[in-house]
Amino acid sequence: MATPSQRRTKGVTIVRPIVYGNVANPLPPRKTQETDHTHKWTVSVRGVNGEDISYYIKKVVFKLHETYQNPLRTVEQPPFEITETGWGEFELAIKLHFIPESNEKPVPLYHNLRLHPYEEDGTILSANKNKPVSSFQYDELASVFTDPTEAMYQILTQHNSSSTLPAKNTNQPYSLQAEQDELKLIEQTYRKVQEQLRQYKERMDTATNELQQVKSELERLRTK
Amino acid sequence: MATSDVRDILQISRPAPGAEGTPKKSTKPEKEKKPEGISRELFQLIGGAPPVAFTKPTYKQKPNLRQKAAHWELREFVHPGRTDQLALLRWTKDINNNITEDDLQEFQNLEVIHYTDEEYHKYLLDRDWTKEETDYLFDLYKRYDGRFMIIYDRYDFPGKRRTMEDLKDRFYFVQRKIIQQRPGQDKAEIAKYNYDKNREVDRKRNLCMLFTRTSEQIKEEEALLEEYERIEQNEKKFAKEREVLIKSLAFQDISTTVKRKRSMTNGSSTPATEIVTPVLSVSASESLPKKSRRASASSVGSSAVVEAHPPVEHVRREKLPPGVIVRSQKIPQVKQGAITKVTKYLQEAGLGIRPSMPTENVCAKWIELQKAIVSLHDLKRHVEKQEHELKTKKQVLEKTKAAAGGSSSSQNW
Repeated sequence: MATPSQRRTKGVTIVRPIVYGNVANPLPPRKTQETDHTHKWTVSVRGVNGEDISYYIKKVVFKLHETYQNPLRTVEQPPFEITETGWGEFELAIKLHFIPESNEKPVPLYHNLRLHPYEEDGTILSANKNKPVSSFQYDELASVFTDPTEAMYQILTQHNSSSTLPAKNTNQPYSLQAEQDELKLIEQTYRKVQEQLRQYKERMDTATNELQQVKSELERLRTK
Repeated sequence: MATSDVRDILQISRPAPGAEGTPKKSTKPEKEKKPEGISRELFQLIGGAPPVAFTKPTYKQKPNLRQKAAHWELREFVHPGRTDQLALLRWTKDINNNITEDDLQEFQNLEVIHYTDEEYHKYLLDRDWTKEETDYLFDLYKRYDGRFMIIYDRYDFPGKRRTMEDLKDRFYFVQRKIIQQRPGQDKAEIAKYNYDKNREVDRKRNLCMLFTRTSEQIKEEEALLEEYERIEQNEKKFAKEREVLIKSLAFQDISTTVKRKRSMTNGSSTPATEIVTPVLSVSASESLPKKSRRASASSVGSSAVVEAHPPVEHVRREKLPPGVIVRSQKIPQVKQGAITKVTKYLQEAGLGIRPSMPTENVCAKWIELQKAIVSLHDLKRHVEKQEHELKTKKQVLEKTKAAAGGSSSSQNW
């Protein structure tokens, strides 16, 4: 039954940025002898400023690797995180369930659990080997809620101020500044691609023209 | 069945009386229009010979067995070519009619234009042919009703060996010459006696070759034909792809220039700086954002609202379906063949395989960038292909030129 508050508010899109990922710390050597686990890790889902997101998220279900006991872990209270130990990296499936007022289906996220401090080329520097690792992804439950239900709309707008990107980097890497930087880089790359496209197009045109000439020349010779 | 029936079925016009012209006449139209299913180049290779092996055999229609059999009757007739009133028998289908002269036309009316001595000396002198031999040929022609097969078989002139083509050539030449020279002759008749000896020799040789091919050769030919078709089809596909690509590029060009212009009017010089985004304006105030955000997203808002968010670089934004989405998951997958290239390109540019800050603007730009890289990749491939083709064609041209310079007759075939 759709109560009045379940009606959708047309033409509204509300964005909620979230961050999800994991931190990992190597375990002290003595512990590794008992089990073969080498790292302690924590995977979490949170607001971009570490703010509470439970006002619109009811629960988070983490799906761990099947070799863990009860790999399906449900967290119903903030903070939405799981701490475990292990020796291997795997892909985590994280499912966000929204509060019932939203009348929305759960949304899946995917995160590759990271334990080792890889460099960009995929190698691990021995110097960094035992340093803790932090691997997070920014994402937007973007247009989270296009046409939200009226109830949800109210809830969301009441919590506006906390869930916004800070202007500058402070204690975390996600900010409006970071967005601008990335935009700039993308724009640069885009223009580079356009330039290359133009060059190739010129090459294409000359090649096509020459080919046309050669072909007609050939045709002429053949029919002669 | 009379030969005229056969001709009707094969749709060959009645041969010139006296001329055993069937092979000549039947090849002629075939040369002009190429049979279906054979490309022009290949047809040139075959050189007008009937495409024996290249047309697939089609199955005959089933005979209609339920129909009542047509009635045929054995009838007597007198051959007009004979003088002795000998009664001959012949099967006919039409019971009501007697055999008419018309039906027997092929046995009579052997029109041979005879030359006089004077004409012979004036026009027909030939180093190879004496008058005696020409007379002998004409005598045979008359005796065997112009059947060159038989004439050729019986031909026995002392000191000479003639091929069928020699005989025909001489005979038709005489006919043509006389029609041309003798006053009162219908000049249009000349066409009936056209004969190209070289062509005929070629044609027969080609037919022989076609006929004596081994099964391996036939197979090879088929394989080549298939290969040729494949190449041609590839070429067509390639050209089509290229067209699409160029069109899409042209479209991109237009859209970027439009954007540039728009950014100029907005007073900012570089596109990069103007992407000041109102993404998270939700927080700015309580009431304004929902309207203005929507307006900027759908790009149809009232002017007042647009002014509130001035220089948004407008990338076409999809209308989002109601419900929750994860923004980065809405970035379309790069097509299979280009994934590695795109990834490599992005990494070289210092970007990851996915945007690190997938906000609305970043995603929109990102998608555009992805598309551009894919087109770049495609275009690159096409350019390389085109240039390769140019190179090979140039080589062919060089060869052809060399061949044309060396011996002008036999070209690169």
